[in-house]
Amino acid sequence: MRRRAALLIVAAALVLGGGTARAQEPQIRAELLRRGADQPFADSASALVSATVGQGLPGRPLVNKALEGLAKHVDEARILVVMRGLATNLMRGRDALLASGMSAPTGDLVAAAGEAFSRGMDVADVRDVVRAAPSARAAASGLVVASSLAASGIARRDAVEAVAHAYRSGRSVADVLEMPSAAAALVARGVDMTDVTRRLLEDRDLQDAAHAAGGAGTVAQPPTDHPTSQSGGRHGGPGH
Amino acid sequence: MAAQSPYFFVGGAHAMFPDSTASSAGVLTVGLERLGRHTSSRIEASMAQLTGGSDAVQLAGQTSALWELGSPHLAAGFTANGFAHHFATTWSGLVTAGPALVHAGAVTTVLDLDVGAGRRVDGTSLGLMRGTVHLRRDVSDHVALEVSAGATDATTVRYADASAATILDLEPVVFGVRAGVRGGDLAGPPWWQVHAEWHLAPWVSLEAAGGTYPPDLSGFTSGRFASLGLRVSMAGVRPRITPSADRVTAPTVHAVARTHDSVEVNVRFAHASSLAIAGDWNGWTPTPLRRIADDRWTATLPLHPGVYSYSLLADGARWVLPEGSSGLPDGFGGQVGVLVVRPTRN
Repeated sequence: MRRRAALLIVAAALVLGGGTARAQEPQIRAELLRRGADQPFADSASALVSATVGQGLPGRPLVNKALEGLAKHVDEARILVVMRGLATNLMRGRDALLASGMSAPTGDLVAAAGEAFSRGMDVADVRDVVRAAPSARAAASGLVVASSLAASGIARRDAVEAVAHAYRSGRSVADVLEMPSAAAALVARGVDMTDVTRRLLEDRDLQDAAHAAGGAGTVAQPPTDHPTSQSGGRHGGPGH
Repeated sequence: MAAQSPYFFVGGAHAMFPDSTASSAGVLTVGLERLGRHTSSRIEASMAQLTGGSDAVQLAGQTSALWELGSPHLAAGFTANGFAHHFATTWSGLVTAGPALVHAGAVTTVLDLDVGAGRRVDGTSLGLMRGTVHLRRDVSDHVALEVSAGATDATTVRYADASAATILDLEPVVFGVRAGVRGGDLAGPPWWQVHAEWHLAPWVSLEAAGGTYPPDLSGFTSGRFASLGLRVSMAGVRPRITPSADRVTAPTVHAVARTHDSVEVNVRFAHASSLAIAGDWNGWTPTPLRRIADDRWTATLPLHPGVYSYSLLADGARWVLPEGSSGLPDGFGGQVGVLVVRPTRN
């Protein structure tokens, strides 16, 4: 029953989305031209975005990817290839979310799932994070955090499990967002990646490490000749 | 380029000595702190006008330089300290310098070896060698613990120091408590000090201190003191003096939500004359970062808490990520960073 409802929602999005997508196409084309795109690229890219939105998928990730490529002076043909790959992953992401039991995934969550696929995650990874997360927003953040942890050197499945475990343990979205900096702080302290992974999985030191990551700036006082020179005490000394 | 911060301190101090004498003084200090990529230094001059009519002048300076040793948490360099003090017809002074080694891990460790020379208030000269180890642990955002131990071998005296301190940073108020003992030829009762700063504005703070201190090398005996004054920093920000662990442990990108839709982004990046940040929040339009030190940059961005893809544009031509930060493949053969904007704690 839930699955049928989900399919109905997707079908409705397909029908309603077609008109919206076509309406947005000139704006997207103009935005790309304004950022220096050639006319053929702008036409192809905006058409791809329209087609993607017409399938009930979010178009903004594709536009952002095009703008990123233009800003980085990437060959436009390559930008289109990357955009097509992302469009495919957005669809895979939505399918994975539906398969995870979500009846109506939000655009942000579909985008996060699609980008997670682009970064090497698979259906099981997306499913585990989504099922553990208490909300769509939490799931979207969790997918990005898991990708970031994996990129920092933690094994992909461990990264996914750490995020899922954090949510299952009642951690908030803010806590999960701390995890990459917590991991980075541990690495900066010389903790090896195995221990970083273990600590994240055990949810230990998460807050402490995150605080340390954000708290840099306090500084060890240098040794001084006189203990009072730090405190103005020497100012009283001359009277003796 | 380095951040420079002129400052002055105006206040008063009262000291009491073992023979029950006491003195009070008005104190004016002017100084300059300079924080560069590898070096930091501070030089200051103080004038004290005693209630008895005498005056005293003190010049003091401190400098250090550190370079990373192939690791983001290991650095080596040197420190140098010196002061000269004139009161009535007497003067004393001491200059020390030597190598320093800093390891920034769960505990920040500073090893410092110094040699020095000076003049005591009685006119005799002295030379010294000293070794110090200093440990610091940041327990949380607000609490730090410090322990120091050192041994000094001077011309005529040998002594050892040990001290421990707790620093409680409850911005805008910072409290510190430090206690120690000096043994050997300059042994005395344990000393203790308390110190408080109330940051009334980014450029002004009210500072108070009090406690006891042991006899020192230059010939001053032990005593008690209390001081109170205002510190005004012309640059608005008071740079920290090294040996500083922060430059080897500071996160390379740090975003702090100032309001629900405004974020201060701080970036550590050394190799650029201009730097901008771009990401998926504004269609990859580069926003210039403002340089605040050799390798420190900042900007305020209109972001809500969340996660964003970003890259840095160095010198208007190179898309880069800060050294040491992890990135994700951008699909174009490069990488994007992930900027995490945490909600404000309050």
